[in-house]
Amino acid sequence: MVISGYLSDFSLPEILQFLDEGSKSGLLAVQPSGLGARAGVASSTALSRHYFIWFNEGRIIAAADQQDYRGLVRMIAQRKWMDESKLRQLISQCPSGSAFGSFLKSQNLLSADQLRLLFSTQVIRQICALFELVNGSYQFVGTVQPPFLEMTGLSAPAKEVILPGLRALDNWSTLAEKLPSSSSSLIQNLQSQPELRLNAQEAQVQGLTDGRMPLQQIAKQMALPLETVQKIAFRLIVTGFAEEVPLATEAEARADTPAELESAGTTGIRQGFLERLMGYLNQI
Amino acid sequence: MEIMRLVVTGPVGAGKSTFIRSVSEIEVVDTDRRATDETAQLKAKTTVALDFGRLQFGPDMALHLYGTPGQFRFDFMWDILIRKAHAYIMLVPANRPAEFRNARRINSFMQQRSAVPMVIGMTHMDCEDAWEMENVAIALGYLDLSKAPPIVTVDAQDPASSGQALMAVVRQLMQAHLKPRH
Repeated sequence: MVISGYLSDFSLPEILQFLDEGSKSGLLAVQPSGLGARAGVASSTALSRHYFIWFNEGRIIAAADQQDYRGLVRMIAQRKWMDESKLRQLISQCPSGSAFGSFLKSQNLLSADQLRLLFSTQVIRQICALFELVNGSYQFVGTVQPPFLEMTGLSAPAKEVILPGLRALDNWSTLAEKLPSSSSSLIQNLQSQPELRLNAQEAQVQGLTDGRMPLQQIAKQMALPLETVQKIAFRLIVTGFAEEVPLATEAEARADTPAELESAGTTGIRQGFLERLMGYLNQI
Repeated sequence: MEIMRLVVTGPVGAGKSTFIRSVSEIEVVDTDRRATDETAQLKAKTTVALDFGRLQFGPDMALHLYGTPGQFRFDFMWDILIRKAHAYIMLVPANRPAEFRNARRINSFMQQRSAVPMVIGMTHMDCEDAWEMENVAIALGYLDLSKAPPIVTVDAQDPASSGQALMAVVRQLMQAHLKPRH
Protein backbone atom coordinates (compact mmCIF):
# COMPACT_ATOMS: atom_id res chain seq x y z
CA MET A 1 0.00 0.00 0.00
CA VAL A 2 1.34 3.42 -0.97
CA ILE A 3 -0.39 6.70 -0.15
CA SER A 4 1.13 10.02 -1.06
CA GLY A 5 0.10 13.64 -1.31
CA TYR A 6 0.48 17.11 0.11
CA LEU A 7 0.03 18.19 3.69
CA SER A 8 -2.04 21.14 2.45
CA ASP A 9 -4.65 18.59 1.30
CA PHE A 10 -4.39 16.04 4.09
CA SER A 11 -2.72 17.45 7.16
CA LEU A 12 -0.28 15.60 9.38
CA PRO A 13 -2.79 15.22 12.25
CA GLU A 14 -5.28 13.75 9.75
CA ILE A 15 -2.65 11.35 8.38
CA LEU A 16 -1.78 10.21 11.89
CA GLN A 17 -5.47 9.77 12.70
CA PHE A 18 -5.93 7.72 9.51
CA LEU A 19 -2.92 5.47 10.26
CA ASP A 20 -4.04 5.02 13.89
CA GLU A 21 -7.68 4.25 13.08
CA GLY A 22 -6.69 2.02 10.15
CA SER A 23 -4.17 0.14 12.36
CA LYS A 24 -1.62 0.62 9.60
CA SER A 25 1.96 -0.68 9.65
CA GLY A 26 4.70 0.88 7.55
CA LEU A 27 6.80 3.97 7.06
CA LEU A 28 5.55 7.53 6.72
CA ALA A 29 8.06 9.88 5.09
CA VAL A 30 7.42 13.63 5.31
CA GLN A 31 9.33 16.17 3.25
CA PRO A 32 8.88 19.80 4.28
CA SER A 33 8.60 22.59 1.78
CA GLY A 34 8.19 25.34 4.36
CA LEU A 35 8.60 25.53 8.11
CA GLY A 36 7.05 27.68 10.79
CA ALA A 37 9.06 29.77 13.16
CA ARG A 38 9.18 27.27 16.02
CA ALA A 39 10.64 24.35 14.11
CA GLY A 40 14.03 25.25 15.54
CA VAL A 41 16.07 24.19 12.55
CA ALA A 42 17.72 26.21 9.83
CA SER A 43 15.27 26.32 6.93
CA SER A 44 17.73 25.36 4.18
CA THR A 45 18.70 22.19 6.06
CA ALA A 46 15.17 21.42 7.09
CA LEU A 47 13.72 21.81 3.61
CA SER A 48 16.02 19.23 2.07
CA ARG A 49 15.45 16.81 4.95
CA HIS A 50 13.00 13.97 5.13
CA TYR A 51 11.39 12.90 8.37
CA PHE A 52 10.55 9.26 8.91
CA ILE A 53 7.90 7.80 11.22
CA TRP A 54 7.45 4.05 11.53
CA PHE A 55 4.13 2.45 12.48
CA ASN A 56 3.08 -0.95 13.69
CA GLU A 57 -0.68 -1.56 13.68
CA GLY A 58 -1.41 2.11 14.16
CA ARG A 59 1.16 2.64 16.89
CA ILE A 60 4.25 4.77 16.37
CA ILE A 61 7.34 2.71 17.06
CA ALA A 62 10.14 5.07 15.96
CA ALA A 63 10.90 8.37 14.27
CA ALA A 64 14.05 9.79 12.71
CA ASP A 65 15.27 12.61 10.52
CA GLN A 66 17.66 10.33 8.64
CA GLN A 67 17.18 6.86 7.30
CA ASP A 68 20.58 5.55 8.39
CA TYR A 69 19.16 3.67 11.41
CA ARG A 70 21.65 5.37 13.73
CA GLY A 71 19.38 8.01 15.29
CA LEU A 72 18.89 6.12 18.55
CA VAL A 73 22.62 5.41 18.85
CA ARG A 74 23.40 9.11 18.34
CA MET A 75 20.91 10.10 21.02
CA ILE A 76 22.40 7.66 23.54
CA ALA A 77 25.93 8.80 22.72
CA GLN A 78 24.97 12.51 22.95
CA ARG A 79 23.69 11.89 26.46
CA LYS A 80 27.02 10.17 27.23
CA TRP A 81 25.22 7.09 28.49
CA MET A 82 27.55 4.98 26.32
CA ASP A 83 30.25 5.81 23.82
CA GLU A 84 29.76 5.14 20.12
CA SER A 85 32.40 2.41 19.83
CA LYS A 86 30.72 0.43 22.61
CA LEU A 87 27.35 0.99 20.93
CA ARG A 88 28.71 -0.24 17.57
CA GLN A 89 29.85 -3.39 19.30
CA LEU A 90 26.44 -3.84 20.93
CA ILE A 91 24.67 -3.42 17.59
CA SER A 92 26.49 -6.48 16.30
CA GLN A 93 25.30 -8.42 19.35
CA CYS A 94 21.66 -7.34 19.14
CA PRO A 95 19.50 -10.32 18.08
CA SER A 96 17.77 -9.78 14.75
CA GLY A 97 14.15 -8.82 15.13
CA SER A 98 14.75 -7.18 18.54
CA ALA A 99 14.36 -3.49 19.26
CA PHE A 100 17.82 -2.11 20.09
CA GLY A 101 16.48 -0.25 23.13
CA SER A 102 14.90 -3.40 24.55
CA PHE A 103 18.18 -5.25 23.99
CA LEU A 104 20.15 -2.58 25.91
CA LYS A 105 17.63 -2.80 28.75
CA SER A 106 17.88 -6.59 28.83
CA GLN A 107 21.66 -6.17 29.24
CA ASN A 108 21.04 -3.71 32.12
CA LEU A 109 22.75 -0.99 30.09
CA LEU A 110 19.71 1.30 30.01
CA SER A 111 16.88 1.71 32.51
CA ALA A 112 13.16 1.87 31.74
CA ASP A 113 13.22 5.60 32.56
CA GLN A 114 16.07 6.20 30.14
CA LEU A 115 14.16 4.38 27.40
CA ARG A 116 11.06 6.47 28.10
CA LEU A 117 13.11 9.66 27.83
CA LEU A 118 14.64 8.49 24.55
CA PHE A 119 11.20 7.60 23.15
CA SER A 120 9.76 10.93 24.19
CA THR A 121 12.61 12.84 22.53
CA GLN A 122 12.78 10.67 19.44
CA VAL A 123 9.08 10.31 18.75
CA ILE A 124 6.85 12.72 20.60
CA ARG A 125 8.97 15.89 20.43
CA GLN A 126 10.13 15.26 16.89
CA ILE A 127 6.65 14.63 15.50
CA CYS A 128 5.10 17.50 17.44
CA ALA A 129 7.65 19.83 15.81
CA LEU A 130 6.45 18.60 12.41
CA PHE A 131 2.97 19.97 13.12
CA GLU A 132 4.56 23.38 12.47
CA LEU A 133 5.12 22.52 8.82
CA VAL A 134 3.55 25.14 6.60
CA ASN A 135 3.67 22.81 3.62
CA GLY A 136 5.21 19.62 2.47
CA SER A 137 4.53 16.25 0.97
CA TYR A 138 4.07 12.83 2.48
CA GLN A 139 4.33 9.25 1.41
CA PHE A 140 3.24 6.21 3.36
CA VAL A 141 4.56 2.81 2.32
CA GLY A 142 2.95 -0.15 3.96
CA THR A 143 5.52 -2.82 3.24
CA VAL A 144 8.68 -2.02 5.19
CA GLN A 145 10.57 -3.85 7.89
CA PRO A 146 10.47 -2.28 11.36
CA PRO A 147 13.66 -0.24 12.01
CA PHE A 148 14.92 -2.39 14.87
CA LEU A 149 18.04 -0.28 15.49
CA GLU A 150 15.94 2.89 15.80
CA MET A 151 13.44 1.31 18.16
CA THR A 152 13.43 1.81 21.89
CA GLY A 153 10.93 -1.03 22.20
CA LEU A 154 8.27 1.43 23.31
CA SER A 155 5.36 2.55 21.17
CA ALA A 156 2.42 4.94 21.35
CA PRO A 157 -0.90 5.15 19.49
CA ALA A 158 -0.60 7.95 16.94
CA LYS A 159 -3.48 9.76 18.68
CA GLU A 160 -1.39 9.99 21.84
CA VAL A 161 1.06 12.07 19.84
CA ILE A 162 -1.56 14.18 18.04
CA LEU A 163 -3.08 15.51 21.25
CA PRO A 164 0.05 17.02 22.89
CA GLY A 165 1.30 18.06 19.46
CA LEU A 166 -1.78 20.15 18.74
CA ARG A 167 -1.96 21.51 22.28
CA ALA A 168 1.55 22.90 21.88
CA LEU A 169 0.99 24.21 18.35
CA ASP A 170 1.24 28.00 18.01
CA ASN A 171 0.99 28.44 14.28
CA TRP A 172 -2.32 27.02 13.05
CA SER A 173 -2.15 28.62 9.60
CA THR A 174 -1.90 25.26 7.80
CA LEU A 175 -4.82 23.86 9.75
CA ALA A 176 -7.05 26.94 9.54
CA GLU A 177 -9.16 25.40 6.75
CA LYS A 178 -9.53 22.18 8.70
CA LEU A 179 -11.05 23.81 11.79
CA PRO A 180 -14.73 23.05 12.27
CA SER A 181 -17.12 25.82 11.36
CA SER A 182 -18.30 28.17 14.11
CA SER A 183 -21.87 27.20 13.22
CA SER A 184 -21.20 23.46 13.47
CA SER A 185 -21.89 21.30 16.47
CA LEU A 186 -20.14 18.18 17.71
CA ILE A 187 -21.45 14.69 18.37
CA GLN A 188 -19.71 11.87 20.17
CA ASN A 189 -17.79 9.54 17.91
CA LEU A 190 -19.48 6.22 18.63
CA GLN A 191 -16.90 4.17 16.76
CA SER A 192 -13.89 5.15 18.85
CA GLN A 193 -13.58 6.61 22.30
CA PRO A 194 -9.80 6.69 22.82
CA GLU A 195 -8.24 6.26 26.22
CA LEU A 196 -6.57 9.65 26.29
CA ARG A 197 -6.62 12.09 29.14
CA LEU A 198 -8.33 15.31 28.15
CA ASN A 199 -7.48 18.60 29.83
CA ALA A 200 -10.20 20.58 31.60
CA GLN A 201 -11.23 22.67 28.58
CA GLU A 202 -11.24 19.69 26.23
CA ALA A 203 -13.37 17.70 28.68
CA GLN A 204 -15.78 20.63 28.98
CA VAL A 205 -16.21 20.91 25.21
CA GLN A 206 -16.51 17.12 24.97
CA GLY A 207 -19.31 17.34 27.54
CA LEU A 208 -21.21 19.63 25.17
CA THR A 209 -21.16 17.29 22.18
CA ASP A 210 -24.92 17.09 21.82
CA GLY A 211 -25.23 17.67 18.06
CA ARG A 212 -27.28 20.81 18.67
CA MET A 213 -25.10 23.50 20.26
CA PRO A 214 -22.95 25.36 17.72
CA LEU A 215 -19.32 26.02 18.59
CA GLN A 216 -19.94 29.76 18.77
CA GLN A 217 -22.46 29.14 21.56
CA ILE A 218 -20.06 26.79 23.34
CA ALA A 219 -17.41 29.52 23.16
CA LYS A 220 -19.84 32.00 24.69
CA GLN A 221 -20.85 29.59 27.42
CA MET A 222 -17.22 28.82 28.29
CA ALA A 223 -16.19 32.47 27.94
CA LEU A 224 -13.45 31.47 25.52
CA PRO A 225 -12.48 32.97 22.16
CA LEU A 226 -14.26 31.14 19.33
CA GLU A 227 -10.95 30.19 17.72
CA THR A 228 -9.81 28.48 20.92
CA VAL A 229 -12.97 26.37 20.97
CA GLN A 230 -12.56 25.54 17.27
CA LYS A 231 -9.01 24.34 17.96
CA ILE A 232 -10.21 22.25 20.91
CA ALA A 233 -12.96 20.81 18.71
CA PHE A 234 -10.42 19.94 16.02
CA ARG A 235 -8.31 18.13 18.63
CA LEU A 236 -11.36 16.15 19.74
CA ILE A 237 -12.18 15.28 16.12
CA VAL A 238 -8.73 14.09 15.05
CA THR A 239 -8.27 12.06 18.21
CA GLY A 240 -11.57 10.26 17.63
CA PHE A 241 -13.61 11.71 20.50
CA ALA A 242 -16.06 13.68 18.39
CA GLU A 243 -17.45 14.26 14.91
CA GLU A 244 -18.36 17.62 13.41
CA VAL A 245 -22.01 18.08 12.43
CA PRO A 246 -22.89 21.14 10.38
CA LEU A 247 -26.10 22.82 11.53
CA ALA A 248 -28.32 24.10 8.72
CA THR A 249 -29.84 27.54 8.72
CA GLU A 250 -33.56 26.93 9.20
CA ALA A 251 -34.76 30.40 8.13
CA GLU A 252 -32.99 30.23 4.80
CA ALA A 253 -34.27 26.72 4.28
CA ARG A 254 -37.91 27.80 4.37
CA ALA A 255 -37.32 30.52 1.82
CA ASP A 256 -35.69 28.22 -0.73
CA THR A 257 -37.77 25.05 -0.43
CA PRO A 258 -38.74 23.78 -3.88
CA ALA A 259 -42.52 23.60 -4.17
CA GLU A 260 -42.39 19.97 -5.31
CA LEU A 261 -40.62 18.92 -2.13
CA GLU A 262 -42.74 21.12 0.09
CA SER A 263 -45.80 19.06 -0.81
CA ALA A 264 -43.99 15.70 -0.78
CA GLY A 265 -45.03 13.22 1.85
CA THR A 266 -42.71 10.88 3.69
CA THR A 267 -44.52 7.63 3.05
CA GLY A 268 -42.46 4.52 2.41
CA ILE A 269 -41.83 2.84 -0.89
CA ARG A 270 -43.62 -0.37 -1.81
CA GLN A 271 -41.62 -3.54 -2.42
CA GLY A 272 -43.32 -3.87 -5.83
CA PHE A 273 -42.13 -0.38 -6.77
CA LEU A 274 -38.55 -1.27 -5.84
CA GLU A 275 -38.67 -4.52 -7.82
CA ARG A 276 -39.92 -2.68 -10.88
CA LEU A 277 -37.23 -0.03 -10.51
CA MET A 278 -34.56 -2.71 -10.09
CA GLY A 279 -35.71 -4.35 -13.31
CA TYR A 280 -35.56 -1.02 -15.13
CA LEU A 281 -32.09 -0.16 -13.83
CA ASN A 282 -30.85 -3.59 -14.89
CA GLN A 283 -31.48 -2.59 -18.48
CA ILE A 284 -29.51 0.68 -18.41
CA MET B 1 -47.84 9.04 -9.29
CA GLU B 2 -45.63 7.00 -6.98
CA ILE B 3 -42.27 8.70 -6.52
CA MET B 4 -39.05 7.65 -4.87
CA ARG B 5 -36.81 10.54 -3.87
CA LEU B 6 -33.07 9.88 -3.89
CA VAL B 7 -30.59 12.46 -2.66
CA VAL B 8 -27.18 12.52 -4.33
CA THR B 9 -24.76 14.21 -1.98
CA GLY B 10 -21.03 14.59 -1.46
CA PRO B 11 -18.31 17.24 -1.42
CA VAL B 12 -17.40 19.62 -4.23
CA GLY B 13 -16.05 17.84 -7.31
CA ALA B 14 -17.38 14.41 -6.39
CA GLY B 15 -19.42 14.17 -9.63
CA LYS B 16 -22.95 14.65 -8.28
CA SER B 17 -24.27 16.71 -11.20
CA THR B 18 -22.56 14.38 -13.70
CA PHE B 19 -24.08 11.36 -11.97
CA ILE B 20 -27.60 12.76 -12.23
CA ARG B 21 -27.10 13.80 -15.84
CA SER B 22 -25.86 10.34 -16.77
CA VAL B 23 -29.05 8.60 -15.61
CA SER B 24 -31.75 11.23 -15.93
CA GLU B 25 -34.14 10.85 -18.85
CA ILE B 26 -34.98 14.54 -18.77
CA GLU B 27 -32.68 17.48 -19.23
CA VAL B 28 -31.35 17.99 -15.73
CA VAL B 29 -32.75 21.04 -14.03
CA ASP B 30 -29.68 22.56 -12.52
CA THR B 31 -28.86 25.64 -10.57
CA ASP B 32 -25.21 25.70 -11.57
CA ARG B 33 -23.60 29.10 -11.42
CA ARG B 34 -20.11 30.29 -12.23
CA ALA B 35 -17.89 29.36 -9.30
CA THR B 36 -16.36 32.44 -7.79
CA ASP B 37 -14.60 31.13 -4.69
CA GLU B 38 -11.95 28.41 -4.22
CA THR B 39 -14.27 26.01 -6.07
CA ALA B 40 -13.36 27.86 -9.29
CA GLN B 41 -9.93 26.21 -9.15
CA LEU B 42 -11.67 22.86 -9.43
CA LYS B 43 -14.47 23.53 -11.88
CA ALA B 44 -15.99 26.46 -13.75
CA LYS B 45 -19.56 25.96 -12.49
CA THR B 46 -20.92 24.78 -9.19
CA THR B 47 -24.38 23.83 -7.96
CA VAL B 48 -25.86 26.50 -5.69
CA ALA B 49 -29.28 25.05 -4.85
CA LEU B 50 -29.94 21.63 -6.32
CA ASP B 51 -29.83 19.47 -9.41
CA PHE B 52 -32.96 17.62 -10.36
CA GLY B 53 -33.20 14.57 -12.60
CA ARG B 54 -35.92 12.01 -13.22
CA LEU B 55 -36.27 8.41 -14.30
CA GLN B 56 -39.80 7.42 -15.18
CA PHE B 57 -40.10 3.66 -15.42
CA GLY B 58 -43.83 3.18 -15.55
CA PRO B 59 -46.92 5.24 -16.27
CA ASP B 60 -47.22 6.09 -12.58
CA MET B 61 -43.77 5.34 -11.16
CA ALA B 62 -40.72 7.58 -11.13
CA LEU B 63 -37.38 8.01 -9.41
CA HIS B 64 -36.52 11.61 -8.63
CA LEU B 65 -32.87 12.45 -8.11
CA TYR B 66 -31.90 15.51 -6.11
CA GLY B 67 -28.27 16.61 -6.14
CA THR B 68 -27.13 18.72 -3.21
CA PRO B 69 -24.71 21.62 -3.47
CA GLY B 70 -21.27 20.53 -2.31
CA GLN B 71 -20.39 23.77 -0.58
CA PHE B 72 -21.18 24.19 3.09
CA ARG B 73 -22.67 27.65 2.72
CA PHE B 74 -25.61 26.00 0.96
CA ASP B 75 -26.13 23.45 3.71
CA PHE B 76 -29.71 24.64 4.26
CA MET B 77 -30.51 22.79 1.01
CA TRP B 78 -29.10 19.56 2.41
CA ASP B 79 -31.59 19.83 5.25
CA ILE B 80 -34.57 20.33 2.95
CA LEU B 81 -33.58 17.50 0.66
CA ILE B 82 -32.64 14.82 3.19
CA ARG B 83 -35.82 15.26 5.22
CA LYS B 84 -37.94 14.21 2.24
CA ALA B 85 -35.57 11.55 0.89
CA HIS B 86 -36.22 7.82 0.82
CA ALA B 87 -32.49 7.09 0.49
CA TYR B 88 -29.25 8.85 -0.32
CA ILE B 89 -25.99 8.14 -2.04
CA MET B 90 -22.86 9.97 -0.97
CA LEU B 91 -20.29 10.37 -3.71
CA VAL B 92 -16.69 10.73 -2.56
CA PRO B 93 -13.82 11.64 -4.90
CA ALA B 94 -11.21 9.00 -4.03
CA ASN B 95 -8.44 11.09 -5.55
CA ARG B 96 -9.06 14.18 -3.38
CA PRO B 97 -8.11 13.49 0.25
CA ALA B 98 -8.70 17.19 0.96
CA GLU B 99 -12.42 16.43 0.59
CA PHE B 100 -12.56 13.37 2.86
CA ARG B 101 -13.20 15.46 5.96
CA ASN B 102 -15.92 17.40 4.15
CA ALA B 103 -17.52 14.13 3.07
CA ARG B 104 -17.44 13.02 6.69
CA ARG B 105 -19.11 16.27 7.78
CA ILE B 106 -21.83 15.92 5.15
CA ASN B 107 -22.46 12.32 6.17
CA SER B 108 -22.73 13.26 9.86
CA PHE B 109 -25.22 15.95 8.88
CA MET B 110 -27.35 13.49 6.89
CA GLN B 111 -27.26 10.80 9.57
CA GLN B 112 -28.24 13.26 12.28
CA ARG B 113 -31.38 14.11 10.34
CA SER B 114 -32.38 10.89 8.67
CA ALA B 115 -32.11 7.16 9.14
CA VAL B 116 -32.87 6.32 5.51
CA PRO B 117 -30.72 3.72 3.74
CA MET B 118 -27.54 5.02 2.15
CA VAL B 119 -24.72 3.93 -0.13
CA ILE B 120 -21.25 5.38 -0.59
CA GLY B 121 -20.10 5.82 -4.19
CA MET B 122 -16.39 6.23 -4.75
CA THR B 123 -15.70 8.32 -7.81
CA HIS B 124 -12.47 9.06 -9.72
CA MET B 125 -11.15 5.64 -8.73
CA ASP B 126 -9.41 5.43 -12.11
CA CYS B 127 -7.18 8.41 -11.28
CA GLU B 128 -3.55 7.63 -10.57
CA ASP B 129 -3.63 9.28 -7.17
CA ALA B 130 -6.91 7.69 -6.03
CA TRP B 131 -6.89 6.08 -2.59
CA GLU B 132 -7.96 2.47 -2.25
CA MET B 133 -11.61 2.00 -1.32
CA GLU B 134 -10.80 0.53 2.09
CA ASN B 135 -8.56 3.48 2.96
CA VAL B 136 -11.15 6.06 1.91
CA ALA B 137 -13.65 4.24 4.13
CA ILE B 138 -11.27 4.58 7.10
CA ALA B 139 -10.78 8.28 6.32
CA LEU B 140 -14.59 8.62 6.35
CA GLY B 141 -14.70 7.07 9.81
CA TYR B 142 -15.80 3.54 8.82
CA LEU B 143 -13.19 1.60 10.74
CA ASP B 144 -15.00 -1.72 10.45
CA LEU B 145 -16.09 -2.41 6.88
CA SER B 146 -18.58 -5.04 8.07
CA LYS B 147 -20.49 -2.23 9.79
CA ALA B 148 -20.13 0.25 6.93
CA PRO B 149 -22.87 0.95 4.40
CA PRO B 150 -22.39 -0.61 0.95
CA ILE B 151 -19.50 1.01 -0.90
CA VAL B 152 -19.48 0.94 -4.69
CA THR B 153 -17.17 2.31 -7.36
CA VAL B 154 -18.90 4.81 -9.63
CA ASP B 155 -17.90 6.32 -12.94
CA ALA B 156 -20.38 9.17 -12.85
CA GLN B 157 -20.03 9.76 -16.60
CA ASP B 158 -21.09 6.22 -17.41
CA PRO B 159 -24.85 5.60 -17.25
CA ALA B 160 -24.32 1.87 -16.67
CA SER B 161 -21.98 2.52 -13.74
CA SER B 162 -24.32 5.11 -12.24
CA GLY B 163 -27.19 2.66 -12.77
CA GLN B 164 -25.28 0.00 -10.82
CA ALA B 165 -24.87 2.46 -7.95
CA LEU B 166 -28.61 3.15 -8.03
CA MET B 167 -29.24 -0.58 -7.87
CA ALA B 168 -27.10 -0.77 -4.73
CA VAL B 169 -29.36 1.89 -3.21
CA VAL B 170 -32.51 0.02 -4.23
CA ARG B 171 -31.08 -3.19 -2.72
CA GLN B 172 -30.56 -1.30 0.54
CA LEU B 173 -34.18 -0.16 0.49
CA MET B 174 -35.36 -3.69 -0.23
CA GLN B 175 -33.35 -5.00 2.73
CA ALA B 176 -34.84 -2.29 4.92
CA HIS B 177 -38.27 -3.59 3.86
CA LEU B 178 -37.36 -7.10 4.97
CA LYS B 179 -36.17 -6.05 8.44
CA PRO B 180 -38.79 -6.65 11.12
CA ARG B 181 -40.29 -3.43 12.45
CA HIS B 182 -40.70 -3.00 16.20
